[in-house]
Amino acid sequence: MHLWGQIIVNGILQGGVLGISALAFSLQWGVMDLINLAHGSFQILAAYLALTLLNSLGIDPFLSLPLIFLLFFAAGYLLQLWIINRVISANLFMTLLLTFGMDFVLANLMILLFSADYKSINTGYANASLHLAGIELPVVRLLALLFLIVLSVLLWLFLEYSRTGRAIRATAMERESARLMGIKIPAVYALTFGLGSGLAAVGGVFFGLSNTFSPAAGGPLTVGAFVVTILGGVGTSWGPLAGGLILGLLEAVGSVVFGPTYVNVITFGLLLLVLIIRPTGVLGRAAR
Amino acid sequence: MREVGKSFGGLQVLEGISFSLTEGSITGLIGPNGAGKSTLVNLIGGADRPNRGEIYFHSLRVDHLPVWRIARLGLVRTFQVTRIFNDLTLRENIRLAGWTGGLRGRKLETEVDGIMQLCELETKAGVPGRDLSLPEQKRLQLARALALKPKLLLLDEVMAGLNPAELDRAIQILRVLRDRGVTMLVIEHLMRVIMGISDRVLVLHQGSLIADGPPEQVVGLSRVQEAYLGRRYVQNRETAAANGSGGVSGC
Amino acid sequence: MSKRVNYALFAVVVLAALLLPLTSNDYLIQVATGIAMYAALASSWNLIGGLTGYPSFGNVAFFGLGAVLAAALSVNLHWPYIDAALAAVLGSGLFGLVLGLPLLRLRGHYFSIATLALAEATMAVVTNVNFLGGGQGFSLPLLGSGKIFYYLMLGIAVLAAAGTYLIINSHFGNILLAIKSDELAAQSVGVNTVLAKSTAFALSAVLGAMVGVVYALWQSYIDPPTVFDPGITVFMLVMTLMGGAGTVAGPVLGAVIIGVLTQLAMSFSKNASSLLLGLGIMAVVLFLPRGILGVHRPAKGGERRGARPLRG
Repeated sequence: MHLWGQIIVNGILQGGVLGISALAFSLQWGVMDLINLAHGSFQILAAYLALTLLNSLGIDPFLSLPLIFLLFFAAGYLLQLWIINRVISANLFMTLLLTFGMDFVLANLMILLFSADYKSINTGYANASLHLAGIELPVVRLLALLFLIVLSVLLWLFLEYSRTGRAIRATAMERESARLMGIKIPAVYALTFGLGSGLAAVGGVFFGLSNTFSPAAGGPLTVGAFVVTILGGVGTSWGPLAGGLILGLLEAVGSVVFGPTYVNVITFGLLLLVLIIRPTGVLGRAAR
Repeated sequence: MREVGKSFGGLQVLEGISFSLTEGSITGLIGPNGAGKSTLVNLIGGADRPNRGEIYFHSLRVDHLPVWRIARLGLVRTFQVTRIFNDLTLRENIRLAGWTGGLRGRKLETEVDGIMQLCELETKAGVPGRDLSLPEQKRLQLARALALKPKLLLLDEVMAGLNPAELDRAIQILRVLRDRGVTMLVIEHLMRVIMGISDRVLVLHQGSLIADGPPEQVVGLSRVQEAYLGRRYVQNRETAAANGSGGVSGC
Repeated sequence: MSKRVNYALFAVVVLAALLLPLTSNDYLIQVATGIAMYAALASSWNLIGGLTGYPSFGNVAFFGLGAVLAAALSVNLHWPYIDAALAAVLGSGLFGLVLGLPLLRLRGHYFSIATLALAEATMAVVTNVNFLGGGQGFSLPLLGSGKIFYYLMLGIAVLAAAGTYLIINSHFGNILLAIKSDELAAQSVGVNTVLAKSTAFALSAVLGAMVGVVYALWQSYIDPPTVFDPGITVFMLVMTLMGGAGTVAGPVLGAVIIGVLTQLAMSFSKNASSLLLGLGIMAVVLFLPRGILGVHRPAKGGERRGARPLRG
């Protein structure tokens, strides 16, 4: 059955887009216990940046991707160092509130700069597809999945084997002990948030390439990252990939079996169920 | 107090623990760090569930009851790291426990006053929990436990970090409680305290009970000294004793 | 501040609020209705988020469910609206009580997400049930002048504030604050924390549903995306934290400040106003971490820990 083959493939590819969007979110949450409510707006901003670079300078989004990554890395690094670090050791509400404020600022700034209209990044290959055994494979989504896998591997290697990565993991496990061992926590946090912002930007560019977007699209992206992170498990390198695939497949199959209006019932019903039964996610560490 | 028999696994923190406490007695529980003392208290108090074994309070099985039910039965614990209610005043801290203990109105206030007097906290009644000093927090924990009218008190290092004067006061309070018929299981590192107040001492080592008896007798056991001080020390001491020279005075 | 000053202040505020419609400026009354509505909603959030310390991101579920249930019963079953409203409020309270039992076992971020999922799932279910209006929503008959709704919203806000005051000064309030301080310790002194938390959640749900019931009639048209907008929860949270979590007047103060500021900035440009609001929120977090009232009330309620810079 080509129909079902296509549905499964769509689900897997959607999973790639969802997963790449959640990569940064999961990292920041896992390491710093920080939920970045401005996550979606970061991504949309990156999409606008890619669009602007394409339209005004003619730079292809895949060429500008490294530049955007670096730009967001630097911005995220400074943001964490100067602002978020001031409240991150306080009550949990405070970081939620701070990032919510950031989201508000970013979303409305984007409306002022780019208007509230829907935009899309029109590259020659934006709508191109490969055809394999009668199944359609949109190129951009395929690349998103590929990038997600590559980035997951790189992230895992970085966290597992590099000196800095190990400092990040030590901080995630036990902040006070890490501090006593001479790890500079504010610097590690700044690095993590910078890395997260860069990854978020990469996810955002892919989102922009595969969807139309407006400044209001940030909220749903953040919620999606939430769901994927919980499904995959907080703070694991493979969580976003696993969570993305699970959610993508469920949405694709669910919308065919029950109808598209039931997608949210499935998504959030499942999320509730996972939280109640196994709050650490499908792949997450055992409950403490 | 009938029979507390207990054994369980998982990480094998504790293994095959069985004992029962005599009503109205003070039992000391000692053992080196990591022996599983606090885990044992968590199990009895219901904060953790055993994988194996059963715990009885009188004739009622308690090892699957929620913490608050166990507390209301009169099986009350304190915490090694003090856990008081920061957002409530000292008086409210104690009153909350008295209320769930079943007291209301005038009776409740009289009881709270009495307990504050016993624990010498009456001058701090209106101070919020977070502004109390550590010794005050420790005494508040004890006072809060008392307001529940405990039949069995599990005291997890309530005296750690106190200076000698404060220590004497704390010991005084425990003696008063025993005279009122409260059974106590006291975890403490300070041998002076344990030796001074316990009717009986249990020694926990690597998750097992290795000794059980009157304090003087338990301290004399070489396996207890080994657990605390290492095999070498005991051997040296035995050799020294055999040679006729006096041993090092313990603890 | 002494109790007497507090009572006097409360009386003055209520009196001023009661007299406001004398201006008979429709725009002003509409804005005031919105502020009263958010004061009530923020107070309802304060019960679970501020007093009990459970950061709910899904309280809009109760607001939306109240609105939708009342509308469904009155439109589809032709119940008198007052009966429909009562049933909707009770139903939402029960919903909060029953769902509170599993959800309140989660802590911190996990509780936040679970409640967010609860709100989204509720909206998704409502959208798929025709009896509840489906994706179309309901049109309700237009009713009377705006003043009625102003007084109704004001009534709920006063009820919420008075209720919070009574709770904070009761044994139940002490239990909630104890849970917020240290849940295991609360259990160890014999508090049935599950019951207490679920009760707080249900009370929060009842208040939220009351506001929703009035909102449906006020707007006379409701659909799922409007009444289940997660932004409504976020506003409850922001207003409460800005004013001072765990205090009686904090949520009300927060609602008034944000309501007035939004209107002022709105006269320039809607997006500029939202942008300023965002900057304002960030400023509060960075410079007023305990909320406006929290600064003067370190003892009871308020946040446990203020902002501290990270040491390294």
